[in-house]
Amino acid sequence: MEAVADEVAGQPVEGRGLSEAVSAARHPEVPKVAWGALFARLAAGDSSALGALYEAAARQIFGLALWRTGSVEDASDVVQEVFLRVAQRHRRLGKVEDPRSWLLGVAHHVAIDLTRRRKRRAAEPLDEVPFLAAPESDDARALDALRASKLLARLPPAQRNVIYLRHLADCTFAAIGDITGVPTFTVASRYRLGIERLRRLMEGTQ
Amino acid sequence: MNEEPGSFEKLLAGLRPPEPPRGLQDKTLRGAGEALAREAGRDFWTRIWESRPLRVAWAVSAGVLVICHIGITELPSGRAPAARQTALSARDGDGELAAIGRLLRLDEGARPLIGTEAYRVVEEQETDRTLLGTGNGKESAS
Repeated sequence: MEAVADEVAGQPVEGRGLSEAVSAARHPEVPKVAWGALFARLAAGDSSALGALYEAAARQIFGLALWRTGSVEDASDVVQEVFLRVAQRHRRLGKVEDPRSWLLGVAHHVAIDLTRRRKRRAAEPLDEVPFLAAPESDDARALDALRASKLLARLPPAQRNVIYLRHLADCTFAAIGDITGVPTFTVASRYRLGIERLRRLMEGTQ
Repeated sequence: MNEEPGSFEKLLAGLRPPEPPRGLQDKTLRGAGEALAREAGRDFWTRIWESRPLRVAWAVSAGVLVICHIGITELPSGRAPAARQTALSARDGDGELAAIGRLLRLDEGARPLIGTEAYRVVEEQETDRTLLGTGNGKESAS
């Protein structure tokens, strides 16, 4: 957890280059996209950029929404709503400094609004929700994905979201704070609590 | 980056968020494309007319104007509350407060000068000043 404290305090972490290499290897699913150029095209009204944006961001948005709402149907609605908002506000997209964080932030807030509107679903069990998926050809990893999904289902949504953004979207704590609208220290605290809880759950199931 | 336990790291390695459902892409892009075309087709004045922040600003401005109008026309002026308070105090029987509100007079028996009586008094005073030589400089010189 020392690296967590260093990052929160804004201190450089020793061996940052190695960390970035490890991080890049750990997040092959985060595509390298020229977000600024994509948003500039959208700001100019280029509708073909919507397709490129979907390819680049839909999976991340869907994943974030799924981890928040616990419902594939609701997560699909979130993706549609986010793209609708992008289209409606396309003139202002050129001013967005960090397009990826902005998109994830919009998705986060839309997901929270949707969860509030559909309180009934919040009471439904999340054990069957596929929070994670394995590569198609790997059956052993598919079992791991199922097991990890069951563990993640037992976390509070706020902790689950932070773990998603940190591990699967490769965001820094500061970026997660911007996306979720909470202070960086709160993000780090949620992350630490979530990881500790997952660890305890894993020890209990092994 | 060793902030998480190795077992959890191992469990997550290679796993990804699930793919969005099939058919979502078409539905999403169709809706967003229509919204983009609709938005791009609106001219400047239409956007201003339909802008929600501007509508809120108009509504707030109108509300402030109405409140100010009511405040200026309906409410009493700044002195009125004090006078009304004195009158209320007097009516409630607080004589001391009522006395503070009343102006003092040098001669309680004096009456106001009205009409020809006033002219007569003023002429008498001017005549006295002339005879005594306390008028203006021109009169004294003559």
